[in-house]
Amino acid sequence: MLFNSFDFLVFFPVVCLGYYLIPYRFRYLFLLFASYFFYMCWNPKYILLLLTSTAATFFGGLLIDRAKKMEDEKKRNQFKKRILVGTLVLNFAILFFFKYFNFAVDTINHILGILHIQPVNAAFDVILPVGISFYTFQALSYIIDVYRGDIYCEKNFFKYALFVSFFPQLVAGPIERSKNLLKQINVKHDFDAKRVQSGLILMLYGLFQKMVISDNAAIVVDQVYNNLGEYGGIELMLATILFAFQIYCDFGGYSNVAIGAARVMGFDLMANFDTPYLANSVVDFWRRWHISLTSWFRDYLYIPLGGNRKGKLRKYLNILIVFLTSGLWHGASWHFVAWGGLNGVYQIVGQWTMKARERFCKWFHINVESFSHQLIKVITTFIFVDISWIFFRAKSSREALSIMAKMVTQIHLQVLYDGTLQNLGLSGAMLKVFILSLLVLLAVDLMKFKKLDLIEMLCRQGIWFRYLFYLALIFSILLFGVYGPGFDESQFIYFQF
Amino acid sequence: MGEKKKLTIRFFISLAVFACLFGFLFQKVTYLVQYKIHVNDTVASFYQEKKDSIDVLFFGTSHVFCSFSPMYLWEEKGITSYDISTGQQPIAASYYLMKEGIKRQHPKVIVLETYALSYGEDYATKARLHEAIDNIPLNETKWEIFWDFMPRTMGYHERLEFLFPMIAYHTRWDKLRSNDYQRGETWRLGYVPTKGNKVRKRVPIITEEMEVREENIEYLDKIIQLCRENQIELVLCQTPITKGSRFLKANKMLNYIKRYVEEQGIPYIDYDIIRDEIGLNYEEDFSNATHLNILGAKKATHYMGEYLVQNYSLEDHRGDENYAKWEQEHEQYEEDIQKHLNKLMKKIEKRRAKKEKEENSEG
Repeated sequence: MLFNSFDFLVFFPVVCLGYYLIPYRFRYLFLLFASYFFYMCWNPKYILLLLTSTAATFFGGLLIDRAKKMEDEKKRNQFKKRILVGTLVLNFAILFFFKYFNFAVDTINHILGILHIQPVNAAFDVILPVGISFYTFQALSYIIDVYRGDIYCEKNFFKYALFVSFFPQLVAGPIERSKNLLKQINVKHDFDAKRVQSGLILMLYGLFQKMVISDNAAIVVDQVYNNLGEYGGIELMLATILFAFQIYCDFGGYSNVAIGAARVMGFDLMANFDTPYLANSVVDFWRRWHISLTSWFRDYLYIPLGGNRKGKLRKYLNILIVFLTSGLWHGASWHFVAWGGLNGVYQIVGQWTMKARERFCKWFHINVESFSHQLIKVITTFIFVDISWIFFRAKSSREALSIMAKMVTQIHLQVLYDGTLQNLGLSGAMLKVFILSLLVLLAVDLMKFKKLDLIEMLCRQGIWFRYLFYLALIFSILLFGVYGPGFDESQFIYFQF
Repeated sequence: MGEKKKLTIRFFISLAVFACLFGFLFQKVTYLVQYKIHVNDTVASFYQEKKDSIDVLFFGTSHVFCSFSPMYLWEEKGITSYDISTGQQPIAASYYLMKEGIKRQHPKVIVLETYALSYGEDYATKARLHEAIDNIPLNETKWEIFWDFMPRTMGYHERLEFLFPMIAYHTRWDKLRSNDYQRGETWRLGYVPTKGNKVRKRVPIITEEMEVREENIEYLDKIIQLCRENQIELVLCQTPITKGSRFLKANKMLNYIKRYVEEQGIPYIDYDIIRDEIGLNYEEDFSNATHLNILGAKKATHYMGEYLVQNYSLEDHRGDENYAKWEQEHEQYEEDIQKHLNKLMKKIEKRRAKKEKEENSEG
């Protein structure tokens, strides 16, 4: 069930109503049931995978907790470690099989092909279980936290299962931590009109981002990226810029719906996107982009690898490892790895040249606090990030490189005025609306950047203004959003005599 | 009462107010973006008619809106009627539209044109279904339609666009034309005057029969049942069939239907059989393959009027103050129909002249 589907429009109010109507002590069971139902709408069989991950980490946690009673410290630690490793291996094995098996076989075959060795024939026809990367990471964060003693061991299986499967963030994040979400399951959430209102507004805005901005941007991006031969450098640049907004509004919009939905039910989920394109460096970008994943990698990969405590070279290496892994997490293909790697390299080069850049600014008396300097930094950061998105969107690294080459070598300025740009899928009034919606996005992000709480501000306004605002938002989604079969006039022309 | 409880109550009240406001606007905006051609405007306009003011309702495909002119029926007999017909209206759609029609007008007689009963599976496209049912408001009939009548092969996600036409039409927001902002003329009463002139062959009358799709019979039975329950006289009719293998097959199927209903004591008017009685002219009365033009429609409607008056006690509302609207609209209708008729007559004269010339040169 997608958030931008009719099903969710029915499912969510029903769940909320049920949630607030039944007694406190049954609520977590009800939410668990709703979450499992939500997941099973995709593929009922794959609920078993979710259940396996949940059970493995739950019982792993129990065993680690029980180990506390062991007196011999060495034995205890060894036992705990074994349990942790066992759980990790099982979870990664499932993830690997369902997400990376075919990718691994392809890669091996590619290498074998180079060595002129008979390829392995072991392709499995598996469908990627929705959200597997998200909930696996969430479950793993729990077992690691228990191992580290950062969180108590949950003794109630159903409460724990709800933590792993909580439907607002089950399939696309934010990847929650037990320290935040698990504890909230025990909190009694009373119906709080203000919270509900604020959650609903956030959900609406998320849907606007997803359906109006992202899905319309996708029309242009797909048109260009699926017909690369037909387009030159300028169209590619435009499509690549739009892709940056497509993926931001897709992912960020989805996160907003998730956070909003959880808020309606009284839960606080962590922020996932914080005005990423207003970042003034790539490091800053990664503090603002998909925060829940970045911090997961920081806590469970970067720091265990040694972080920045083992010298510069190790630090750079650790950064690179983290970003290559992050690339692989995003998709089982080498171009995702290249995307991650490129972002890692940006950061390494950035840190490496930091001193030189500072000296340069001093030398030329550049006021680094000035607006113009910050603006340039924001724009350069966007360009760097956007270049990396080419690897994300292209079908292969080779294709990405050829796109980049084209952007430099095939610039035909006539496309700016010969109507080509109007023929990329969005035209006339829709194009204007789309540009306007991008401006709305920019305005919202700027205000968020200035730490203004927009929802709070809106809720303080008079009723007529709020109603007008809600109606405008809802109807712009209904009219300008991408959904439904699309209207084909030729179907309707009949008996026009 | 605690502060929190107060806030909660206020929240739900304002939510309800907002929902009403939204619902109202949603309906308006949906209608605005809907694709409008006269056939679906017919259904929308039907809801504008005064309740319980119409005595006869016609249902069926384009054959109905091309053949029966309610205003002509008014002019001749003072009977109030309406054509709730849309292009290729599937029989199931006729059934549900009939439910709506009965609810609003409680007619005395319902006339169902049977051509749609010859349709096979998936005959009607989505666009035709939209035309038929989009303008039924979101009520229990629409709900029933959603669950029951859509082609059985259609998944329920696909059906949603029939419950909420906004799904199908929302991308039209930048293609709206001036006629999207105004309601159609109510004086047409569903009739569509056609001014084409096509010479048709007078095909021999066929008596063979052919089995009809089960689902069609199922809905025909439902229609018969519905009329019985509401004590409404049901008349079935079939407008003239012309050449073509498709029509030949349909003709055989309709013969089957004819026997099927006549066995149940339901009258069936077969315009093919009475074509000479009504003086149907195959050279001048057809607009195209199967649709009568204004001249043909006059003949068909005239016969229908005579039939209705002879067989049922229908009131003559002419001169009744409560029906002043009909008198006024009749004037508009006359004006409009005359224009169409003039055009048609020119076409016919031109054809006649051409034919004469050909005959002369031959002679």
